[in-house]
Amino acid sequence: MLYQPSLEASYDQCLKCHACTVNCPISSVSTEFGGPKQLGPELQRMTQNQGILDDASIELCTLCGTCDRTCPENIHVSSLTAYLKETHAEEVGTKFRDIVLSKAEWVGKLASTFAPVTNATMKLKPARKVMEWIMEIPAERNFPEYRFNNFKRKYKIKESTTERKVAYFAGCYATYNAPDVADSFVKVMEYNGIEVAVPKQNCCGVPMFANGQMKAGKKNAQSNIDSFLSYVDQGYDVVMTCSSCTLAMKKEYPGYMQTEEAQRLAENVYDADEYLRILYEKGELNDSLSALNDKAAYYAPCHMKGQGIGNPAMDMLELIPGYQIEDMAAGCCGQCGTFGFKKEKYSYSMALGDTMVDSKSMAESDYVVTECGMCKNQFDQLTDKEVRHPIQVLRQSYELN
Amino acid sequence: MFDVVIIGQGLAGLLTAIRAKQENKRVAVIAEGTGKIMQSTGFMDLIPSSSQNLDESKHLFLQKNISEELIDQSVEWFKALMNEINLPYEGSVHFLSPVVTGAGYVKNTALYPTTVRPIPNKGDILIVGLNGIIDFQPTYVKENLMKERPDLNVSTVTVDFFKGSGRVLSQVDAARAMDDKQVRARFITSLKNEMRTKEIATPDLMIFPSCLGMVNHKDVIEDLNDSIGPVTEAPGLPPNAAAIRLHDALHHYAVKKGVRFYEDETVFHAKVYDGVVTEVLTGNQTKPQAIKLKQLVVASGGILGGGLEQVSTGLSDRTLSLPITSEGTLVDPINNIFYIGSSSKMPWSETWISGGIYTISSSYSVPFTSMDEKNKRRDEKCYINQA
Ligand SMILES: Cc1cc2nc3c(=O)[nH]c(=O)nc-3n(C[C@H](O)[C@H](O)[C@H](O)COP(=O)(O)OP(=O)(O)OC[C@H]3O[C@@H](n4cnc5c(N)ncnc54)[C@H](O)[C@@H]3O)c2cc1C
Ligand code: SF4
Ligand code: SF4
Repeated sequence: MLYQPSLEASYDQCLKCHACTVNCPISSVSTEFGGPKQLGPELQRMTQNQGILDDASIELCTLCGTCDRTCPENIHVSSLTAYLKETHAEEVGTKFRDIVLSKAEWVGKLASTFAPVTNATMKLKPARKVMEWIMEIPAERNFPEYRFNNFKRKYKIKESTTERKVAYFAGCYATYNAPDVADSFVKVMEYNGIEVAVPKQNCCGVPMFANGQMKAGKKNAQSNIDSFLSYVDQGYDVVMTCSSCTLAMKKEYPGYMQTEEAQRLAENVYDADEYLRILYEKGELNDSLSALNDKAAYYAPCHMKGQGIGNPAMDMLELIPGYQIEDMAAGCCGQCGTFGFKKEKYSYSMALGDTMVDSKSMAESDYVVTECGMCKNQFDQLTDKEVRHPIQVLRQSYELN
Repeated sequence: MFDVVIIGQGLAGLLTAIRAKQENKRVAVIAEGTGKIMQSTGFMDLIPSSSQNLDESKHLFLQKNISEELIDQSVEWFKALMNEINLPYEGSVHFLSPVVTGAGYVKNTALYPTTVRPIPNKGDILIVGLNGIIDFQPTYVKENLMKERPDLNVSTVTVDFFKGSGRVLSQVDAARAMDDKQVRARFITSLKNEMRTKEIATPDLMIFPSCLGMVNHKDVIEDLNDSIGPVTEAPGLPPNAAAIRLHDALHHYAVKKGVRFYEDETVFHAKVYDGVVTEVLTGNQTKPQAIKLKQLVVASGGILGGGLEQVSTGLSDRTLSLPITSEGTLVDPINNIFYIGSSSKMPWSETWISGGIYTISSSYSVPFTSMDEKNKRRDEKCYINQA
């Protein structure tokens, strides 16, 4: 079945029912924002009649995709807002700060090379004040730490010799900030008799799409499609640990690129827990998981909900004997990738974050479990709770054996 | 493998998911979007656009195999659930209550949230508009209300609320703003000032658009009540805060209880073996998923909710791809498939509008088959087989 959000056809079906705007996280904290109904189908219709129209408030859209999930007419609203971001960037240009933020991979390479210095500097008040002044990045905003011993430096296997073959897309976060997530993924696969290969890869492009850099994002998409399709053709499954990168490969690549290759790659992409769940269903999962008497709160990132695959993390973690986990049933975290690093958006980011952490299941938990590194950054900013990736928890359970 | 798979997350789907969870089932909801609950008023109508009490209409429910007893039980269950999720409902199916709508008309409904009060026949009424909320025009509301209730003494005011915005604002935006204590206090002061300027005495009831708070609605009602007097919401054109509160509370509760939501997914096929449905196929994303199940509940809203399509040859089932009757149900019934809410045609309506009470009671009528624990563990191994 082909997934094709055609821009022409989609806006025509809009019933102006408001479901998207009512559910849009940014619309819930800002009345300045035009909202998905107005900036999606309505603007598209006007553009069709009157030529290119711009709306500066599109900068506030985070491409969280909540509008896509809630629209009863199945309109892929966030494709419309993503293209409006590009139009807007072309009309007014892009801030130097936003170009830097959109180059997550470049920043990651640089920052991890000088990791101790970067991390220390990011904690220095005067340095952060200068950053706020020049770059408009709020001094109080928490930054993820960078690791010198990044995953790229450590893990060089490009070919798998086991029967099941997994090509791992680590993403910038697990590569430069949280190599432990990538290590854990490799270990968990090992416990299941699968050797992980790590093909050549670039940033998935999500931070570029979100900053209106559609062309740059598509360039990254194409290079990832080329690199990973050559693995798919050799019988590899593409498995990923970052929910935003995964959603990009599953939905945005086919949507934005409109090519058969993008489609074919998407059909072979799996979230890590989704993949393990398949192994479990086929009776292939190594089920010697040791008991963990932890009580965890699960936070579902928007880009996880957007994949339409239920809750694979909880499906897997519930297999661990003694493990207790409850869904926080929370909305958007407000960090939203690069969004929460921007001064003019910081108050919205905090308003959403405060609602997210106001949770009984979180308060009563030992730690939070979530797939997204950016959501974790928001938790780190707002609470003292430890945050783990579900794959890290599974590794721990396997290793206790 | 899920015990119960529900197609659709409108009122019917959400209620069924919650009830199945109460029965300790493994439950999944698959939905391509939100349901009509988002566009509703939040009222649970007995028979839409009719004033008949249950006594006069129970024969219609019987045609759908819904008995009076079942309706009573399901309404009780619904009210208990709504209490538990802090959104209590009042009213009865035996004596409908007159409520006012955002257009000023009076209609009879069965159940209503506690942000709403029935409209009296006599007394002083103040209709309060908020500038920026264009779908609620106090003078227009007054005109219609006076036709329906000529003995009421009605005044109107419009209060400054929003200072400019990037979009056309709705009752929901106002409700979110009202959640803030300071905004609320400022609003009450402005309202009192307006009343003083227009020499309006304290009314017996104030009518607002459906905007009295999103999460802190109890505080909003209390503050207005304490500083001026009793209030009611008059839900009108969507989006109404009363409806969004209901949706959010049910969805939130279902997720917390562990219902698995497969959203932005369209069910397009059902696999039937030996007269039972064993799995459904869903698409929209890039690869179709096959979801195995024991019981299937179709809460797809029929023609209006998108589960069925009107094509040149008649009705077509775009959800299960099985032969259906003109009522939208299966030509050859299948034991473990249940149709609820608006997914099939109503005896009372050419437009397939089921109404809240039928939605509640049909959802409540789905029997959940029991399974012994041992079977359950074994069957769990294979709830999705990859296509
Ligand atoms: C605009 C409107 C307003 C209404 N307001 C009121 C009111 O105020 N009070 C009242 O009592 N009644 C009202 N009604 C009547 C209404 O019919 C019922 O009250 C009730 O909301 C019906 O709910 P439902 O869950 O059966 O269907 P719906 O709410 O229509 O839900 C259908 C669900 O199925 C999903 N779906 C459909 N096909 C597929 C598929 N193939 N795959 C996956 N998912 C699918 C949809 O995305 C949606 O989630 C209103 C009806 C309409 C149309
Ligand atoms: S992608 Fe998210 S922020 Fe952007 S319009 Fe849609 S719901 Fe709102
Ligand atoms: S939810 Fe879909 S149909 Fe409704 S207003 Fe938004 S885009 Fe239009």
